[in-house]
Amino acid sequence: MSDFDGSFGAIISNLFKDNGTKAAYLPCVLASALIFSYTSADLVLNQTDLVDYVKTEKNWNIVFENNIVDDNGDNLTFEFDDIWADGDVKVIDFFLDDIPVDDGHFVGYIDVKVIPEECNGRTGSEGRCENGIWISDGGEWECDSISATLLGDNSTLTGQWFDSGNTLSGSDSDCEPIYLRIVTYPNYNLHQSFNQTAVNEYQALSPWTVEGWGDGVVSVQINLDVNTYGGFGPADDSEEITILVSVHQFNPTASLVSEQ
Amino acid sequence: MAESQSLVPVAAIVDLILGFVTIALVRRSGDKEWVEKFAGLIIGWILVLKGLEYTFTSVMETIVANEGLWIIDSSNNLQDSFFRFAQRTCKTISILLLVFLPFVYPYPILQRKWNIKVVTASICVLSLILSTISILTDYRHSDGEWFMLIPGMMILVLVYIRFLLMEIETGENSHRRMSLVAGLLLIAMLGEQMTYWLAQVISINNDFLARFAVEWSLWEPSTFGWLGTNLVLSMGASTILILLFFESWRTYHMGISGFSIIVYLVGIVGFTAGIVDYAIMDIVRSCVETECESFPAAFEIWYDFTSETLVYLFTPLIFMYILLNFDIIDSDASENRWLTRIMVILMLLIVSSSVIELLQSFLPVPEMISSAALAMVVAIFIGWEERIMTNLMREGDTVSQKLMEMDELILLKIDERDYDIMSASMASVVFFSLIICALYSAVI
Repeated sequence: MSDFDGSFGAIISNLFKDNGTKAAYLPCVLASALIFSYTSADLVLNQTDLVDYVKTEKNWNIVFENNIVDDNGDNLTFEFDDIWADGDVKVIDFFLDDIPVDDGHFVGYIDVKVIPEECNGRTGSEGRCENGIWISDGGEWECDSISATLLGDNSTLTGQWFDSGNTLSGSDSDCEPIYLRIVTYPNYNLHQSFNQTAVNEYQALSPWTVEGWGDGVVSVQINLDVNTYGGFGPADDSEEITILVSVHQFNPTASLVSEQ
Repeated sequence: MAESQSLVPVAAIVDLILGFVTIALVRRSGDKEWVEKFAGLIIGWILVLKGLEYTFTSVMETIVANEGLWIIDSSNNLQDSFFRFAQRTCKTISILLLVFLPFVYPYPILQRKWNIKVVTASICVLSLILSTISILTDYRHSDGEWFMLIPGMMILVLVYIRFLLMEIETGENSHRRMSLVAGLLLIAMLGEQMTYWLAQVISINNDFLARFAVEWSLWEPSTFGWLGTNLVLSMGASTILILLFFESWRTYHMGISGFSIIVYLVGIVGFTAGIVDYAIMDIVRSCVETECESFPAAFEIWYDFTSETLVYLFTPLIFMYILLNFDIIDSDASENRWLTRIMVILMLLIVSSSVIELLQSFLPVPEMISSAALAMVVAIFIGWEERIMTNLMREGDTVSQKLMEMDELILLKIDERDYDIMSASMASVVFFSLIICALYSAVI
């Protein structure tokens, strides 16, 4: 006659009947508990708060530190100087792939300044302009007609060609410099700060850390029409024109304003 | 090369077919002992519930046009969807069935006449309570359900160790039947988690969990839910280490077996996966530290071929092997034979064709070649059908026979209607739980 009655106690007693089973089973349970304990501690102490933090949207203030890409201290990236003849139409290319953009910086916009030979504000130039006539100690000259254009068609320059902040062409016949600008980084506005909602600093900055803008070639087309004045100055049939290019780079930083 | 496809719909079909056939065959196996009939019914319903869960997952994948088990619902289509509620409800009920299976099979801890009634009632009541609470708490605590699996896992490990040691000690081969069933059930239940064992032991799975919590909009666990997920991963890691240790010991004394090879394979997969996981930690942590970077394609392929294949294709095959090899269903009876054979060939063909499709997704194999390969597989299965069936039913003895020999099983006279009541109750609870899901998703 069997002694086994199917009770819970009898079943457990059967399972642990052999000493070998007890000796082997206990370390297995302890090892399992150990694995669960230290992984749980790691999970609860290190990961859950981190995940809560990461999943909470926060307000960030994005500010930009701006300067000009400049490797020789003259606050210019490129300088080009040449003498044009009357009626010349020339395209001057400036290659941006070789300029030393600092680490963590991105090209925000590019300024181009076209300065005629007789010009208000030109270095070493002494004189004044009255009704389109340049008057200086050496004589009087009629200001030349100059037009300058940043060429967008077929351009390799990666920029915002339709940005409202652009000045893609200009002309002058009053001995004044011509100022052109092409914004290269999307939505970049000088000296502005932004409020951004994001879960972490990286994502707050991510719209401002996209590589590839401001690469390629800046092509400036100059049209010159030399005007000869019948006054006291020498005959004028050419013009020295200087093109100054400033590539503006920015470094974005984010500071936490508040957690939503 | 074909486009990579999700295995979830295949798993849904395989599990549903196998589940319903199992329930039908158990009903026809009138002469079996109560242990086999009860276990067969529980396994059948586990497969049906897994099949339903995968069906709802497939629908969700289609809705968000996304592949894989883990769904990123960026457009928020699924947050209050019936399919999400239904999928989680089926998962809850299948976990409850897994919780109670080790109390019945292979070594019944409950040996009383009332056991079917009590187990059925417990599963039904807990299903309704847990699925409702889960819906109301937006599934934040749902992963805590894994805590209920602790007693069952402890029982299975205990049974495995006891009978393996008895086999080594006495040299009696029949003890292997018990340790083999317990070991196979452990792999069927925790197979996926076992393939992450090294990552769990060195605690880098936590980084994956943190990433998924950030990346998946549908998974926002509470601390209790976090611990539940960590628990099932820890159980997977510790059980495969236990299986590796004891199978090595057994191999040393008794020689290698097919099950030992399976355990070693899972162990090697887990070891390799741990190293691969460690190698991509920067990508894993990117979700928390910067922004989510995608996993490399090679990692995805590795995952498809190991963890996903094990969960979706091999788990139903393991259950089928247990059902046939340990004679849970009466496959010899003339009225069952044809259904059993159809089921086996169908399962093997579906799994083979899915594996061929998976291979085609990353190997430059022309479709003509893969069709020819599939035709070869069909020819082999038809030609060797007799041999395959014989091998599947090789053990031929039930675990209850073994336990009776050891005088450790009470032969209970359980009313046949109890089994039908169990099936009817399970069908009802699934139906009403899905009604609750439909109503809740409609009113919120």
